[in-house]
Amino acid sequence: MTDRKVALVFGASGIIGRGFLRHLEGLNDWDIIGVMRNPPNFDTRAEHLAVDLTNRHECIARLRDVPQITHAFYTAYKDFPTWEAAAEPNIEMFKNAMDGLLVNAPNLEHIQILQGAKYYGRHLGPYKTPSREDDPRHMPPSLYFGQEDYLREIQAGQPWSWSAVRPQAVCGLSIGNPLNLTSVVAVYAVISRELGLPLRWPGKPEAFHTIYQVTDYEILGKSMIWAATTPECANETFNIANGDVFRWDYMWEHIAAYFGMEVGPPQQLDLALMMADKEPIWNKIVAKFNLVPTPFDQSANWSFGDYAFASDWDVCMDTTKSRKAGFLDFIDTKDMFLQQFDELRGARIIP
Amino acid sequence: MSDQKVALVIGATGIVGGNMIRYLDSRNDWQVIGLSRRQPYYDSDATFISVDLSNPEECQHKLAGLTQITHIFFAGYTDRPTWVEQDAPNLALLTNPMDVIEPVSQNLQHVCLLQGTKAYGSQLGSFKSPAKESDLRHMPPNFYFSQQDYLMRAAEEKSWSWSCVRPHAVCGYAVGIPMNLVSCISIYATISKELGLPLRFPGSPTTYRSLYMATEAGLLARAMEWAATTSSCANQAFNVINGDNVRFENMWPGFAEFFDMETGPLQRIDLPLMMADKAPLWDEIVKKYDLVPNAYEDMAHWPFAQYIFNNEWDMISDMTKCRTFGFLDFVDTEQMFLDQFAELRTNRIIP
Repeated sequence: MTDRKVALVFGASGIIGRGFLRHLEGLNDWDIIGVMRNPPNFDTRAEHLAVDLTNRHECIARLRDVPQITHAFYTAYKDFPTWEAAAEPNIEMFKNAMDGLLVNAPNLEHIQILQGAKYYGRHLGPYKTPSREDDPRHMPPSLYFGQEDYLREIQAGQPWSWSAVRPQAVCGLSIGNPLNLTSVVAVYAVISRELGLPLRWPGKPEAFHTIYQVTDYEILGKSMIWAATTPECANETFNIANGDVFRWDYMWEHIAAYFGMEVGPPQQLDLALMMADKEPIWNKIVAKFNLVPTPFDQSANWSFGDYAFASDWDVCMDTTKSRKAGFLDFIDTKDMFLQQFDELRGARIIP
Repeated sequence: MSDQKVALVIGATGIVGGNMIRYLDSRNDWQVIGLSRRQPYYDSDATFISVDLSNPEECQHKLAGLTQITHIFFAGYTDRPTWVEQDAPNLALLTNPMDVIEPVSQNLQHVCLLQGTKAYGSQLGSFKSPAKESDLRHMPPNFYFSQQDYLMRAAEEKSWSWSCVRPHAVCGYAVGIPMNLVSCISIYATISKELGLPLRFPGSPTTYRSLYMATEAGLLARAMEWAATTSSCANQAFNVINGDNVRFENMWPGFAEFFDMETGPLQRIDLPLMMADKAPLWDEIVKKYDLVPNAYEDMAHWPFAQYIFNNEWDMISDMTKCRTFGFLDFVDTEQMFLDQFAELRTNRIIP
């Protein structure tokens, strides 16, 4: 037996999956197979396995062809108009993936699912915070519950183990990733500045002052490998976040300073509505500062901004359990945003 | 020069100083001298000098022989009715011994000053949180400012450095220290139970739900040693808290379970007023359960509990700076309370 590990990443072209692939690519002892419907349109050393997870027959037929895999990471997600509507189809996709995978996986050591703070009802309204892994569940449906329950069920009596990681608002890999607070904030700031506006908080007024938390994608990547390969993490769930909490009112000053702007008084906006017509300004900015052209609709996901900036209740998870189990990585969230803005600038995505 | 480190712990019978000495005793490379007015309540290898720090002549008389001190840990405190009145007397507690010891201790390397979240104005009203060490000061006076400014001036062009540590609600082993949250909660619960009452949160409903934090005394002692002996920590301030954020709302049911009580509905009471007549009941409890006799007034300082349970704003400090500088210790706060309640029970302080 060799120490070489083989990762199968479901949802490898998705936002989390792609960030995770990049993380895995930096590790010499991992071979990587990415499950994607279409060949990747980005550089990666991962092998491509074309499987449509909504197609059960395809899952059963094709996933048997990768018997070498040792670790499976499930980061796939199919979007629906509501989170509730997404539950059943995403649970079905997960079952298809698992059933296909387990047809022929003699080397399997671990299956990990990616969850998030929505596990705790963060999206529904005020909820118990800081959330702990053993908090009782909210009223179903939740795709996380169905997926986790299925995983627990199929693991019973098996030699392999499972884990789940729960980040909150994953930030990073901003390039080509509009569903990302870093991109939303950066593009919002740059457009505001071009229009001669100060940096105004566009979210709900109370959400400017409530507690918030995010997860840097590199910390998430490290934690995923850690949870998947640490024996004590077997069959456990872990909150993963930067380790600090913050309020946007504080962060806003640093963001404004970064972009050389004044902080303006808050002005609540429906970003999806109000930013829809800003493509000409964005194109003007791209031309004026000689940026790498990014289509406006891929520069920032405004609906995601509306969602993230609307929490007039505290959003935070407790990360004590992962620390106790040995995962001590952290980053100052302010530094994270500024570093990620630097990356965007360095890649000439923003001026 | 010898490698022997000689610690002077000022305020040796406080909860911080006492636990600091107990911790340094457990290390092999420290010789320890403690200063306090009272005799220590714990066994120790340290040398104790009984001195009234507010009296400069007495300091001169009793401390002029301390020529071997390498590290000073200042944890002295004297109470006054208002925050403003505390300024001058608390500054004197530091300057009186320092003015005697600093000129004669040729090997002095470091002075570590105990501060707290009050350095950020946490006691004045709603303040910016999570508090960071780089936050600007509030309107003076604040004896932490006076003490720190004194140290900064005194250290100029000297070979020794200084540091400040800022814990919150230090919890740990202590006897006869009524300004102690663990003890206050234990006594409040024990008396409530004896009266057949459920465990009701006695403070503000807003406080019940606000974010809170605490610092375990052992963690603080390790942090103080670390700050005093790590060269990169020279002339820096550090928040030192357990590393998680809690709400009384979330912990209260666990507390009730520990004391085998029901969690009651909220009932705000004026603790100093309502608990004033409970000394006879406490004495009965001591007899009934064959406890180690402790005077009621040594067990709980109700104005302190009243203060803790009625701050209607989030009490949180950011731990990122400490972690960045290399101090990665953490404590699960809810577990800390339960462990310390259990320790009181084991020591037959409470039933």
